[in-house]
Amino acid sequence: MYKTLKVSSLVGSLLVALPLTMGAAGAARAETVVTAVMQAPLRSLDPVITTAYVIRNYGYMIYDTLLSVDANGEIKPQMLEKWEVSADGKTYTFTLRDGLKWHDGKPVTADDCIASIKRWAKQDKMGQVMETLTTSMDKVNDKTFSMTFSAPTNIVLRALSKPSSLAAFIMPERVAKTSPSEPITESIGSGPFKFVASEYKPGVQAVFVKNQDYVPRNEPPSGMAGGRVVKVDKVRWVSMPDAMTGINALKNKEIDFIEQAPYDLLPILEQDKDIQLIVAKSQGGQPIMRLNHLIPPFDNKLIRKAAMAAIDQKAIMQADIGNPKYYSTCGALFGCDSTYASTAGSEDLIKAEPEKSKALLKEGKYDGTPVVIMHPTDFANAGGSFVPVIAQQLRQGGFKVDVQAMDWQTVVTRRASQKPVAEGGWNIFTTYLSLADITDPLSNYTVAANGKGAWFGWPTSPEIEKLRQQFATSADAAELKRLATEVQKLAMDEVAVVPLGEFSVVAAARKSLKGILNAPVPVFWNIEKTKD
Amino acid sequence: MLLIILKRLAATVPVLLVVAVVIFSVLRLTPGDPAAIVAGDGATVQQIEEIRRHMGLDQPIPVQFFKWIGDVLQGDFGTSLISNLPVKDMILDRMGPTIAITLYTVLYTVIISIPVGIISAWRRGKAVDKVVTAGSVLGFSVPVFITAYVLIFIFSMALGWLPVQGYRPLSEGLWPHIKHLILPVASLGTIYIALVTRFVRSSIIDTLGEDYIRTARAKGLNERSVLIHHALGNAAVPILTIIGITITMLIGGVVVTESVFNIPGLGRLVVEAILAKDFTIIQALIVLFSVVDIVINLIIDILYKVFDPRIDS
Repeated sequence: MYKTLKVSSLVGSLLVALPLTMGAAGAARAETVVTAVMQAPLRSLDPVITTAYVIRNYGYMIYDTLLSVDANGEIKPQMLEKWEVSADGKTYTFTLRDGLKWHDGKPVTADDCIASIKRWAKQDKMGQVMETLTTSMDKVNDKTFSMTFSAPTNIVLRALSKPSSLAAFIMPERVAKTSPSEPITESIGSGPFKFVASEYKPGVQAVFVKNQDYVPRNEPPSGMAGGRVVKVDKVRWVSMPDAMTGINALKNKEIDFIEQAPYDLLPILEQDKDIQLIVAKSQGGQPIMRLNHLIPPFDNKLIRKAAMAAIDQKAIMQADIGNPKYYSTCGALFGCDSTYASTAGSEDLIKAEPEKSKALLKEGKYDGTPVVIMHPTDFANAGGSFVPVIAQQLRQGGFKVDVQAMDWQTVVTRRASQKPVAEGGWNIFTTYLSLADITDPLSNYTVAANGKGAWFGWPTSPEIEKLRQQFATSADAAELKRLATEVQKLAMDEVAVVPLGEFSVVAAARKSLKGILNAPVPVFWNIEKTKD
Repeated sequence: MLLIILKRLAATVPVLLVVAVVIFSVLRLTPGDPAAIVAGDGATVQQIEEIRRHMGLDQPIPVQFFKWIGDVLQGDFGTSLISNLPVKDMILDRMGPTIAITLYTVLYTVIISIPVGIISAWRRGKAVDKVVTAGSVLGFSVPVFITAYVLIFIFSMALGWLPVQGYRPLSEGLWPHIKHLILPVASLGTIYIALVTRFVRSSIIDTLGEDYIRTARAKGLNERSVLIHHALGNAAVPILTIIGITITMLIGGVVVTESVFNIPGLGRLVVEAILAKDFTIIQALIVLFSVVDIVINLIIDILYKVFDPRIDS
């Protein structure tokens, strides 16, 4: 009896289990497949609803942009054949180039562009500024549309070409008509890769195949601009929850590319002759400390300045990155190497001045109430690794500090609270921004100072807002530079945000991958895979 | 027997209801907002509010609960708040790897630990018993991820025999399927083999001291018959209990193994869903795990009766 039961239950279990363990068979393998581990798993597919970088990167795989920025920071046409500006500088007329097709074979039209720009502009901070200046957006013919503004400006060029979140991806009109707060349900673009929906497993893998119908530009690739020529058949993004497993898999030829190799594991890769490390400064980031301007004590400018004086960037970056080869100290809000780089007003930032901090606290009548710092212990780059250093520097500067450990998602939720600390509010949080996101006073949302309408921390400064508005409407390069420097000075004076330095991203790839571009966003065009 | 099964199944309804209420409440009372996660780092408070409204999370909690439970009763577990895909499909997609690891680990555990436990008990106090006892202590003292890294270092990096990571379904071939699961099962199995071996050993030792064993030996039965037919049969109930516990523990234990070996199973899905506050997936998985737990316990209870008819149903 037992034997029969045991055998039958085993057979029964196997009969139940085997079909479940048999997933769908993969499609026939393409000739050249690049397997890449991206910085985060792909879990949603709307690059307009979220600022998550992995979704931006996904956007560059399957969508195209009207304009792009080259390696020298110059704005170049991408989907466009040309653009023309009216004599009064208020009207821009854009003409699409020939051969643009959606992945379902239909042609890309001016209506698609208008609908896409409208949806994107509702979500993107620079787009929102552009929208306030836009008086009309009109279709001229199937390949041409125009945009008219209330004042002479080139904001449209700067906004539509900016490489990072949110990039102005062009989608089919029917998709772009989705409300900006509702995720889109189709993954059809006109970009160099097609998304393989049947092989998509959220959080596990995303597969892209070469778009055979894509007509790249003739110019060589430069930054995000130039020809987006795909040289492999398939790109597979896989998630790798354990960093060490990723490194082992790369060494063992199971994957080809890691977008962001952990700094502490780089020595293992440096010794491997078959692996190349790519230091991507332009994909790097700027860690920041954000103070809550709405509630005490940081509603007091002197106390904000005291916090800035207490900061020592080098110690923070050492804790965050560890290897000086991959970080630098710098007080430039718009990036140390960017067009608008300026270190005006950041003198107190690089090196700690605890005595100055204490004097400012005394002058500001700090009452000794502990300041609450949210410590995202599960997210090293956002503060997990360096919040304890900040806390100690603030203590040395005369602050009482309450470090509260939590996961990043709790930080994300709690930082939206504008209430006092006792009711769930906060005083300080940290995070980092991609350098591609902070290149000027409009795209760098941390300098927006329109009070409760601004980013978490809610600084108020009508002067900064006025300068940002002037920055939006100006087209003169020298004037733009002057305005950006003024914003930098004022933002530092108000302590709108405290930049903590800059770091480079280090990608790791097998040497069989050639042609990896050093662009502000990790892209997969131009990459060739040779025999390993 | 059928009546007993039906009664036991009926008794699971209130258990599942309690589980549903508790998990639904806990998720909404703990910090974390899926709308903020979807919106990303640069979103404003207003944008997060709009997304929350779209997700239906602005509704009162009881309204959300009754809508969810109503849908679940109709077999609809909703859509993921993050990926916007049906939860049922996502779970089915991730079920294969977890079932494979669990099944193979249980088989591996049973195949190794029962004979080793019996031999250890039979040779109690001898060298083989000491080796088994020391090995068991080591087995459940070393964390799974350490065992995993050591095995990866030896068999993948140094010898190049097995892959470091990944999963292949059976449909891609038996060897690719097995090859990707050898190290995960070996790592995960170590701890359970150690646990079950010790349990089998002590159960057999207890049984070997019984009068009927002495009687069996006295009437001239060989040691093999004594051990297999008399000792093991009578020690089966506690061994079954520990195997049942092992299976339920595996559901939790598989999380680390799936992460280290990059296997896209349910363990990783539940961790990802918790980190992303994807309420609909967490709720569905907790209910599913509860059902599995209940069913395994029911099966073990039935097997008790099979192995020992004296047990009162």
